[in-house]
Amino acid sequence: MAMAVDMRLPTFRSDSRSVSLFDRKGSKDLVVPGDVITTDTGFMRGHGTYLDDDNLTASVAGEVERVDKLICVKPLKTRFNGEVGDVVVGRITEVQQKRWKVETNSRLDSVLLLSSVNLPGGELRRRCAEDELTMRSYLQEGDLISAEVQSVYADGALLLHTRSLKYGKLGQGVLVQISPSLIKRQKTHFHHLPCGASIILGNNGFVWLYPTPGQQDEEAGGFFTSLEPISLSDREVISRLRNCLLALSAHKVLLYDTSVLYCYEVSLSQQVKDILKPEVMEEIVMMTQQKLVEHEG
Amino acid sequence: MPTDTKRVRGPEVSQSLSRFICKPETTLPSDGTRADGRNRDQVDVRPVFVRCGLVSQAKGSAYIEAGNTKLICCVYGPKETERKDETDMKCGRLFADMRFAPFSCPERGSWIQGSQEKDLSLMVLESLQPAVCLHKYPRSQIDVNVMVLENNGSALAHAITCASLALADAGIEMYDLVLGCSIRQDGASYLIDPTFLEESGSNWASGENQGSLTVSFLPSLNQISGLQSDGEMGEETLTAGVRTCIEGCYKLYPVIQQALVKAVRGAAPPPSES
Amino acid sequence: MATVQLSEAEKVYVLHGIRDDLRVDGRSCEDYRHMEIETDVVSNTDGSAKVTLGHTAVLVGIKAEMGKPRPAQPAEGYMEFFVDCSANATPEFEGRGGEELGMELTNTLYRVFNNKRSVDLASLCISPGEHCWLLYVDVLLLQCDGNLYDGISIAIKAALFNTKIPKVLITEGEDGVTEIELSDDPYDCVRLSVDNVPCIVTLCKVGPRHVVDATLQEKACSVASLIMAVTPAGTCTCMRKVGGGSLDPESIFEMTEVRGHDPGAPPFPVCPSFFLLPPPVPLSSSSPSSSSSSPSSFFLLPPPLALPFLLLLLFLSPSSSSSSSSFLLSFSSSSSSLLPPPPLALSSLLFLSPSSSSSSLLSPLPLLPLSFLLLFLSPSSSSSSLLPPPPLPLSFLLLLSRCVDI
Repeated sequence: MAMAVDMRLPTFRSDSRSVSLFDRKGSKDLVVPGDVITTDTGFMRGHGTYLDDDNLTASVAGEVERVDKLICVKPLKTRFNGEVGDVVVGRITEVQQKRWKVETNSRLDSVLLLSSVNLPGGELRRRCAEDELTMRSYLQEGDLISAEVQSVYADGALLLHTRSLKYGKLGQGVLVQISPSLIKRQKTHFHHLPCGASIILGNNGFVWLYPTPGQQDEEAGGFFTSLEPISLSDREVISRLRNCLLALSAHKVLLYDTSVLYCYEVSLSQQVKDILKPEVMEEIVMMTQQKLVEHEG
Repeated sequence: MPTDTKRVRGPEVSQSLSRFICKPETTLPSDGTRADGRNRDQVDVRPVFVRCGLVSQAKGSAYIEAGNTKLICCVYGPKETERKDETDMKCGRLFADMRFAPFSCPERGSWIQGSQEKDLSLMVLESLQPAVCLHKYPRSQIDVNVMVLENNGSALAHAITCASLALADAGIEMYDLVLGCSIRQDGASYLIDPTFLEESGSNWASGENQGSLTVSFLPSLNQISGLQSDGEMGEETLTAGVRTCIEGCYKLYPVIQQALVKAVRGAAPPPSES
Repeated sequence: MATVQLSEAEKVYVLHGIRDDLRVDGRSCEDYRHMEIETDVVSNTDGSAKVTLGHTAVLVGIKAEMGKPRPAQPAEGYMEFFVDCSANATPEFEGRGGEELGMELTNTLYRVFNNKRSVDLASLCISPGEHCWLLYVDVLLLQCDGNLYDGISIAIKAALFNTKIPKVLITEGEDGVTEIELSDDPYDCVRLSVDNVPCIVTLCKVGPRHVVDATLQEKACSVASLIMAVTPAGTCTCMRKVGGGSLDPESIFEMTEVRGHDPGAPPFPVCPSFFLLPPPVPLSSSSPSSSSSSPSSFFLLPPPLALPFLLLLLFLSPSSSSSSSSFLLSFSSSSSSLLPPPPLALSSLLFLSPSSSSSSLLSPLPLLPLSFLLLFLSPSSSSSSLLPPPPLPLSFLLLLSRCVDI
């Protein structure tokens, strides 16, 4: 079996950035910290702004958003700022007294209380003292979970819960980390793609790819993970999806199930490992964008 | 650039006498018997003298002599670990430290730098880690300190053997003993368990296949836990060298076992009369 | 090394994938990630290179200084290595965290170069016992995403190739005082021959198989890895096992096994390492120029048997379609179409695409200055190096040939 080594001089990255699909009419209002947004005092201040002698000034580099009387500046690259109801994928970093600390790519680690999880054995079991000692047997450091944001603490930390059967510990699959601003907000973040894999697009930028579970019910309480080997065809699909996600995020394309699917279809002509080459990446992303424009206008 | 901050060297201008001795350059004689009467190309390790339990303060200790190479190793622990990480919850840590006494080498501390000692310590650690049942000692650490009293070649290999003996003497649970063996490849022939003169780099002739190889081996499990090679050798030479080192380890194994049994027997209470 | 945490299920997934020869990013067990090399990036050094391997980025700078040779080897210069894991690479390296890793890498580098053939140290001697050149090789880790050893060794090789040591004239002045003169011409310099400089290959043992160029995730699933430094001649200068696990002797033998080259592999035989070659010297004819894709420049081939397994098999993508102007940058035929006409004149690596005769190369010579792109470069050095006095290479040549996939 031959080994492929691809070496080259650095390529000249083309400057033609792909046009964002959701470009609003007219130019975007981009500001840098210190730029005065407006001097009109009738507006309310939102995030990313501060008042400087009656001038509304931006404090982050980003895009100005104006909703009625509220002006805020959305930074272009940011940590995840959770809202209630967001679906997140996180990794357990610490096991504490009655809760777990979860890393969700936000400013502070999120919190998952013992009382907010579904223990195996059904939902209605009361939490006994024993549960605290055996917390580690449910979720350990390094485990991945999918959860929903229940509320936001005053300091910005998120409180998560997995009180539904679709959330819980994640089994075999691949985690892809991308910027949270590239995930489009949708009604549902759990998708079973027709190509043979499933995807969870966490709002915090963590995307989880896993093989579509078979006949058995999806979450058997959320803590049972099967360690059976996955078939080669499923693996290929997942690897291809992963590379497509990385390609799309490198070119700042908004991610949602349709864009990922189109990208997958377009990439079928290439080998999986070639997708990450710069020129192939550009090609695939351009074709995906064309397809998106065609189908969605 | 890494400097040796741990030793106090003599004044900058002092030099070792050996540079002024007008002796012709000694290169290895390319055939015939070696200086100490052993043969080339044969698995002829030096006879070793091993004793356990010498240092009373340490939990476990061992002393090994092979030819003129003398080493002593002490094991302290298991004790509570100072740094706490999540990984510590599941298994313990092993710390290994190998030092050379300043008078151990022909030239006082001058050819070995601090970074080289760190490298050797890392090698000792990597060799011992697979053998120790660290999962039985969560949140604890075990310290292994090796001191080379006199270095006449193969210090690393014997250090590994000594360290595993000391661990066994300390009662630490291990999957198997770890034995070390080193070999010096000189052209087409090899010298097992080289002496200091045979080993030192300045004597390397320029030619094919010059190098040295150290292997640490778990005999019962047939696993290699440490491997380090130096110099330039072809692959067949390397694989043959590894096999030779493994053979050398097998030769040492019964001696080490015996020494350990003796130490245990000596320390065990007499059988009770009943 | 910097670590990532993985859940048990993820580890199992990675393990099974490697067992089936399909890694998480679609590569097979013996594929490398996308690699980019630039040389001459820092103008204050005598030689420098930057290598990007996936997300790992390594910057090497070489400075040559004059000093006294080591007493034990009075007729040779020597090299000093130092690897710095800066906190830029990952937050784990903050403060003294990266020091241990840096020491480990440095010590391995010393070991790799600790033999008489890798670098010709005798050529670094100016006057025996009195003056010699010391090469300080400083490695800076910019980004860490696994596989540091490979990246560092490639960068060092490229930087050594790029090193220009000024010519020195020692004259005996009056009263026997030796005077040292550095030649004024900045282009009058000595280049090092890097034909024998070894490259390091790291093989990580994951489950029953070993993988090349492991990412941090795969490293988290492996128990031990074997590092081998291999020279173009097929010999190994340093072999080391790292990691806290143990390896079966059989798996070590498997890893070092000489893999015979598949006779059905057209058209190129495999060359075991990088070769930085002097330019258009007609090749020692071992390269079968069957599909006329054999580069005009050198291709030092080992006898077909001695193919160290997992050495860097460098393959040139036969860019049959590339026009003569694009021969300069023929990474792949598609890429050339994407490249705008190269504005800058920087030559560090010249890729020679199939050149049926070297004469075809010589005519576009004047175009050469226009055709190289480098991100950072000092224009002066570039233009000079492009107008070669015959012995000097047109630029560096790094041959890569892509083997047709079997």
